[in-house]
Amino acid sequence: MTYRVGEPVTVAARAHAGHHRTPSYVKGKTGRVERVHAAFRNPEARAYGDDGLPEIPLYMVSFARSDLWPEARAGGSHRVYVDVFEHWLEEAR
Amino acid sequence: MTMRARCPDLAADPAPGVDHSASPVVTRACPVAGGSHRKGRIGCVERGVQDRGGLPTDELIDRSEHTLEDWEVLTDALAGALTRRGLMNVDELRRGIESMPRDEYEQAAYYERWLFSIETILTEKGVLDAGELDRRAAG
Repeated sequence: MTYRVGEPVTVAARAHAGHHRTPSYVKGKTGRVERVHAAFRNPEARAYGDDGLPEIPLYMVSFARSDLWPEARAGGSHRVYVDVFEHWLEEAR
Repeated sequence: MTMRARCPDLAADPAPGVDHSASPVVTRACPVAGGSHRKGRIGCVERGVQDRGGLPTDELIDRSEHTLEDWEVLTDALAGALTRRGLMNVDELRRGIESMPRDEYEQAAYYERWLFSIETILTEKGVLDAGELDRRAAG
């Protein structure tokens, strides 16, 4: 596990043409590791019949609503929690 | 409709050895690119049909419950049976859903998307012949 609970992380902003579980609205955004779930087979490979090994750590990352949608009319200071695989995370910028 | 030309810097190649020809990937300019300070880095990010979180809308979310019809229950059971027999997995199910043409995706009910995917994946694997379900349904 590369990242620890409480650590800031930035989600990679790269495009990925195939199946992946990283929603656009967190790409390029910086959040905070809330939980280290465990390591799981990679769905990006399993979606094409591969066994998805080696397993990759999955983290629960939280983002400030205002960082994701700064232009939204509805305010609020809540956080949004998204599960992100480690290969989509980078050290916070 | 492919708008990849608008995002030449982010037009990623598909995974090596993976045939995406049956899965038209729609890319388009990201309407919420994270503000001007992000411009140039994630000026546009590919979005699949299912990747709709945060897209602006004035429509209210329909939160009403509805009773499942028999075909919907059967579709769920079919996917479960196929998974247990090792014929497909949930990630393939999702990939098949995400390969739907945008118009069809938008009009399809939840389990219609499952059916589309099951047929797509099983045809891809040679479990079904192309058009086999239509022929058998027609009697």
